Amino acid sequence: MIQSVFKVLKVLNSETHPSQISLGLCFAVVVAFTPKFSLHNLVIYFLILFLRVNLSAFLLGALLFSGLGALLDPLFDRIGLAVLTAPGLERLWTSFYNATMWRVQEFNNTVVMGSLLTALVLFAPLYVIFNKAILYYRAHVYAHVQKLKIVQAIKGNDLYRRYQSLKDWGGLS
Amino acid sequence: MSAAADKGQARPPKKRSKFVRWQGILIFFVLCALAAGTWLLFVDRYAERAIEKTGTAVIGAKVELDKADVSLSPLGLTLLGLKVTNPNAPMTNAVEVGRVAFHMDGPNALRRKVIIEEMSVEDVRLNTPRKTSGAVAATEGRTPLQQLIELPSFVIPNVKEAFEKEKAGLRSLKLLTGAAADVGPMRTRWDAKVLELKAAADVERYQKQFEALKAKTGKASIGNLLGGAKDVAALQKQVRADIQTVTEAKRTFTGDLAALKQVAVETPAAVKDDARRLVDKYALTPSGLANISRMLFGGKIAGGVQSALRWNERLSPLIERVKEKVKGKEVVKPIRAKGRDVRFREDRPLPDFLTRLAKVSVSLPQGTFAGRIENLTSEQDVLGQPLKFSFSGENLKGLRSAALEGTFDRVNPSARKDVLNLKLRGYEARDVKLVESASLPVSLKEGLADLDISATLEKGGLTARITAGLRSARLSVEKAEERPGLAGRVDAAIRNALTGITSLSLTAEISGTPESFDVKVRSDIDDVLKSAVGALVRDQMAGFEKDLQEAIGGEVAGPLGKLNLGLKGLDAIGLELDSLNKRLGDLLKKLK
Repeated sequence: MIQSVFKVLKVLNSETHPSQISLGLCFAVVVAFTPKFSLHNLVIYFLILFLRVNLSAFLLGALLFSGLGALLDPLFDRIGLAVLTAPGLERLWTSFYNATMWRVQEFNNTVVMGSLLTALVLFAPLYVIFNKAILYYRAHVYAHVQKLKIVQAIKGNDLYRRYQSLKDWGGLS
Repeated sequence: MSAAADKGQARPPKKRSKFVRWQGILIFFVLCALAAGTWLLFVDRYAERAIEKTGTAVIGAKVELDKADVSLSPLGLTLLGLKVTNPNAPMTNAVEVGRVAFHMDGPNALRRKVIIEEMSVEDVRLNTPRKTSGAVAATEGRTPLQQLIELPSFVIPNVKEAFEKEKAGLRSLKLLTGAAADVGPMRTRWDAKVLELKAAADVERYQKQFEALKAKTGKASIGNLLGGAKDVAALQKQVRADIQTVTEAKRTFTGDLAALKQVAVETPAAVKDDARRLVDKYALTPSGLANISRMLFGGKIAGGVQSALRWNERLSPLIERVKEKVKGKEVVKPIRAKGRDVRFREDRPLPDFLTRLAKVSVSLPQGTFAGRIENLTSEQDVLGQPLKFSFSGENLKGLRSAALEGTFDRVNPSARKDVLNLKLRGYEARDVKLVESASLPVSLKEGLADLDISATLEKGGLTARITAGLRSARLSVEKAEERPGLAGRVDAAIRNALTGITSLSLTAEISGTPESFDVKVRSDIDDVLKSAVGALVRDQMAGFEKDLQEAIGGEVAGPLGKLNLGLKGLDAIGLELDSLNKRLGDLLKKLK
């Protein structure tokens, strides 16, 4: 049973190409900014598992960006309200409002709309930024980091060695 | 192809997709199944917590639930052991419900609309004791009930105490003290003014000038004659101007003096007025006796009204959701979510929460009441129908019949109207404490009551009417501290009068706003007590008023003496002004 779980985790962590890590981080931004149990997040969870996205990057990103998302809620509320009350979009929202699927999605909630819209707008630029940052890290920073005493100490840890066996997203394998 | 050749040929590597991992689909569904299983395992507990948390926030006191059972097919919920604490009595449950069960409309639930066609609410009990306190927040501020407790009491006041308490506000004392304080500065001011006038209108100087002119014109030359006449005319003009100034000053002085004298003259009347006012405030006047019903029943009625209003206010969020408008769009705050929900026109408008019919059975010590609540929703404006309720019970223990019905109409939120009607027939009242006064604790030992209550709360205005008839009644005044003198005699008269009452009718009218309402109570008791203690009170009144007048008179004597003394000094200033005016007048006559 444990072997099977490790096998699954290994599969999910085997995608270490910069684009796969960046994609994981971008999906993390969407999940972290928007309410966790929304319909669109179900789609995101599916995409994360279905596409070759690095799961560790996603999980770490979701953890990091969740705090930021909570801080930005008042901003999301204002953005959502502005979008939902825009006169030009009223017909579109009215048709959504009368469709069950969109009501399940809670599109008419100001925070859901504001946060989702912000996350989607940021998705592509963040993908490019994350990609470049990872390439830069691997070329210029990674070697220095490996030499740090604290990193050496962590790498000597048993827990880390077990985790490493799953191929972490920062590795160059 | 031979087997050896087959063995030598390497097997082509399995083609791996660059973008998708097919195993992910399986993992996704396994995780979904796990999540659904976990949800099913914990949904009951989650629903229980959600109801407790939301209920506590709405009521302002602990709401507890023994068990919640969510069913998926058909979609429904069963609640067991729901307890709602009375926020004003945290050791008591205002409502305890044995079982609540309902089914929801599934498709509408997906649209986040809870639509319940029929709800069953069983074994409702009221005012049950709690083992632990259900308080969550303290209340503050003076309530109408507390204000009503400040009704005039049966205590006959002590003159000294009443006087000391009211001394600072006595009109007579205030006027006199003010006037006496004004006398000194006024004297100083007018002394200075008289000196100034005397210096400006120096009669001696004018006399000398006149003598000099007379001597000058005595020499007979045309020039002298013409020049002398011109100088005399100038002197006459100067004296006339001075007379005018002094006359003006005298007029002003007379006005100031008259005002002070008026205070001194009015003092006796002001003392009497103050004494009368204090008598009206403190003493048990004959007119006060006419409102003893208010004292006996007012507190109970006001307490009941206030309790009903408090519940009306607390339950308001359940029957009227707060909505705001942003750019013409209706925006509501979700009860348990972040942000705000913007609303759009619906093809088939329905409220977010609606129970079309709730059948309720209430278990009271008197028996079981059956009732129904229709259109229970927080969005009557969307539904277009008001909430209606009716409960009734017959042949109950100690009560022949009871019927309660009413409506909470918030279809048009700006014209909200709540109506409540209650009819009780043959209610066997026993040991009802009417007045919990230390000196005269009055209680209804027994009686058979018929009670009709109709109340309307419309556009912020409260009107209610209570009519009650009591038969076979026995009122009693408990033995309490016996007071000496007249107070004790009044207590005894009231005790005798009340114990002789066997039937009475009562009418109470309540009007005002929920924050400040007036309770007018009239009953047969008023006349009975008026005749029983009226004479005693009248005698007591006369003495009380006389003593008060003396006390106030004693207090104002000091300032009055000071005022009178000051007035004498001011009279002297008046005489000086008159004298100056006369001398100037005499001089003017000589100049002519």
